[in-house]
Amino acid sequence: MIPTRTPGWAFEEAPPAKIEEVLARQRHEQEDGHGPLMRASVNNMVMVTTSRGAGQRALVTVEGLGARAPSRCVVLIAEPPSERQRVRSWARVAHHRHAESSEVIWEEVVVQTNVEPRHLPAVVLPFLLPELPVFTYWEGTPPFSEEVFEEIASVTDRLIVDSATFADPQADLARLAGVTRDLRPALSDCAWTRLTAWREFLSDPFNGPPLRGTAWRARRLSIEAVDLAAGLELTGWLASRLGWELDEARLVDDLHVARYATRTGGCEVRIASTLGSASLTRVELGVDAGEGEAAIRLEATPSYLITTVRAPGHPTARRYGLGSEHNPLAVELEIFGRDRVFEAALAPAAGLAEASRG
Amino acid sequence: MDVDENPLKVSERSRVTPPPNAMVIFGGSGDLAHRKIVPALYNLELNRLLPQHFAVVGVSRSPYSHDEYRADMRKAVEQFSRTQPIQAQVWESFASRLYYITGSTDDPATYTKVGDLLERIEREHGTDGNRLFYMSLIPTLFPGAIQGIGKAGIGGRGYDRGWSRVVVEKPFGHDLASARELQALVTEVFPERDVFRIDHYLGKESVQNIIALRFANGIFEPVWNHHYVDHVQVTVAESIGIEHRGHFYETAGAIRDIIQNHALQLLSLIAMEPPAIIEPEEFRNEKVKVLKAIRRMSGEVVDRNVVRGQYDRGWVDGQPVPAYREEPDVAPDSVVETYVAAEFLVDNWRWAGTPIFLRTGKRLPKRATEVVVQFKAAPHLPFGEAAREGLEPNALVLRIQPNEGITLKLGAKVPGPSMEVRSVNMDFSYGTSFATDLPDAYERLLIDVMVGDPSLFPRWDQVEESWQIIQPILDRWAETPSPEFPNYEAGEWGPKAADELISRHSPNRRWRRP
Repeated sequence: MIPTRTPGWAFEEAPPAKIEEVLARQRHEQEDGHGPLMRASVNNMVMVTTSRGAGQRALVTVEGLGARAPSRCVVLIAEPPSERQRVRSWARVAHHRHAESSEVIWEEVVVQTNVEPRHLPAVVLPFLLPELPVFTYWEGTPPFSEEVFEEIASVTDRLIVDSATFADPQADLARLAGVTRDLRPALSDCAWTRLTAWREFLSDPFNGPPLRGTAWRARRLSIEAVDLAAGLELTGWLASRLGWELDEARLVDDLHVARYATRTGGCEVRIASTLGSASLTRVELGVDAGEGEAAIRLEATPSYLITTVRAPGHPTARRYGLGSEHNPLAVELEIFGRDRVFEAALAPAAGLAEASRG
Repeated sequence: MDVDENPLKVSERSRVTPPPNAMVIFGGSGDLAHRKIVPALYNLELNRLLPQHFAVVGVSRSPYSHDEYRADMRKAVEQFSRTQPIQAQVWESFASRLYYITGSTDDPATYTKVGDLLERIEREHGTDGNRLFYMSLIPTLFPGAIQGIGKAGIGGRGYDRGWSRVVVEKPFGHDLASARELQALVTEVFPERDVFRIDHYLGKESVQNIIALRFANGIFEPVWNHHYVDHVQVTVAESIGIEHRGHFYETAGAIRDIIQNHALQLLSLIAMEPPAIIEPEEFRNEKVKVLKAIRRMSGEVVDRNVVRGQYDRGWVDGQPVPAYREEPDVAPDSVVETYVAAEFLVDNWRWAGTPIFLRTGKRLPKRATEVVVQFKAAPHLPFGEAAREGLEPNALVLRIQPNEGITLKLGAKVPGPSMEVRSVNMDFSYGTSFATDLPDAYERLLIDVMVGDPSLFPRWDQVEESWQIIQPILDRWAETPSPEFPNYEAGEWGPKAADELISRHSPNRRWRRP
């Protein structure tokens, strides 16, 4: 009924009350065929979708997590409520060979329902492994102001969104920042996680000479963004770390132009839209290095991130490194607790988005 | 905020970025550099864990140019890196900061050349004058290299243009006297806080998990003492032989190679008191207290409490293997031990009267490192004798390698109409629960040296205490004839005397079969 790509048992449909029996039987049958399945449970993940097609895509995402899949994944297909409300459920045990002698087992439960949003926690809760953290991944723009968002957030420890999939990145980023203030669960954004390598490579040159101490004297920032939200978040990160205050911002066609007041003057920011396979294709940060401008340029190639540092009186330094994790969701599943750096970056990112829209 | 502090690194969640530094590997063309150090550095670079301002200088007698050294190290990384295939551009970018100096550790000109190159590197790569000297040398060459660094003023006490640290590989000394001599020599040049004695076992994730298991779980601490623990076993078993290290092994033996360092370090992690905080000195203070509390042996007590063995021909992993005395570079009448089993007592309130058995050996049936905490039997079993035939006392097994994890042996009812109980194993495997690629121990430890965290490096007083424990055993062995060697067949779990050692006070005690 539900096609799968990873090894394991086929999905079986069963009433919600019988789902644990299906999983227990499949686990037992796998033990007979494949040796003992040893795994300590670590976490739950709930993936919220609104259609069967999106639910299918969610399953592909989970299977793509491979060795880092959650112990149990519940794909919730929350369809619009209708008169004849019902809950259908399927389950299966999946496994993934990780290393020579290591096989990871996880369980997938698919729940399709059209109950009223306020009942969704009651539908999901019975399927969760007891007492383990719940990571909720919401593809696309979460319905921030709707009851379903609040209800699902209420049973979540960590809410993961991907602002790269937001319908209107500027408006939705602002709304995300708005709800974050009152959100109980910790918040993650896959777009932010994709920026990890960019942030590391952009900050490393300031650890030593000749750029040490010059981050405060940033004068210009130029970003070419495939994912606009990522460009806004990178700017928000610099603004929050370096104490920038937004003076003015405007949108010229697809180009965001902004000016920030900094501790040592001002910084011009330009975020241009572009096409590419990474979330950003190029970032250049120019700083006043005393004897002239120094610049850090990051460029994404299909395989690498290239850092070039130019400073007056110093040889040009170039460094190649791997970009961020291809599967940010897998990274998010290993993080507990709040990401204060992200939370601090989100507000100025949203501020820039809103100001640009006028 | 310090104007020099990087504001973009403040409050980042978990990754520690080391400060700028240059690393000098004495023995840079040697086996360890090929197999471990350079592959570890490459993987750190791959994972963006090395600082941007970083460079490596290999120093050895082999005549290489910088480019030849880079080419040689690339081959090493292609062969030994845990991540494959090699990312060409990452390697090239790393290799552009890789340098080589041909020189002997006994030639003062070598240190002048190293100093000159380091100054150039500091200008070109901004390494800030921070220097890390890695002694990847045979033990007899350590002293000369360390003195050479001090005399040239390129590192150590007189050096003030940045920090300078030295990493020394085990063994630290050949016995207590030579260890003290070496320590005096090392600390003449480097203060103790800048000396990092590497024991790669302590960099293993599974060894660090001992700390997590003990101090992150409240349920074990109440039973982690002589009231509830019958005995503890630490096993470091290897199926391999001496692997072309005959020259070294003939001067070391199993007790110096494993017991004096790895095994006693594991013992101290198992037996230590909980530190108030996991900070380097607090942590190392607690470990050294355990070593101080280990009862010293001498004379006939050594004969009773320590068993030594040497392997004969046999079969391992389905292959016939030679006897130790038939290995290359081994004397045909060698009395060097390839196996040691010993009973230790820790004289403190927690462990009084609870024996801790250590064993290690070459050419045992399988490679396995584990710690077994064997609990006492339940005080009263209400089941009939026949009903409890398959029941053994609880045991907690901490598997260090391979298949890192934990096994808890529990009593359970056998399904059926009668009340029969037997022991079952509840297994937890780290690999299937936290399915990420584990970093190599050297990666973790190299980063720790660069950031200056000595927690996982034995401090001098720990090393000295370890030698004080081992020295009387060495002395006794030197003055008494060895047993009839060989006394165990390759592929067996050691000599019979080791089984008698563990069971002599209690017939229920036996070595766990890993």
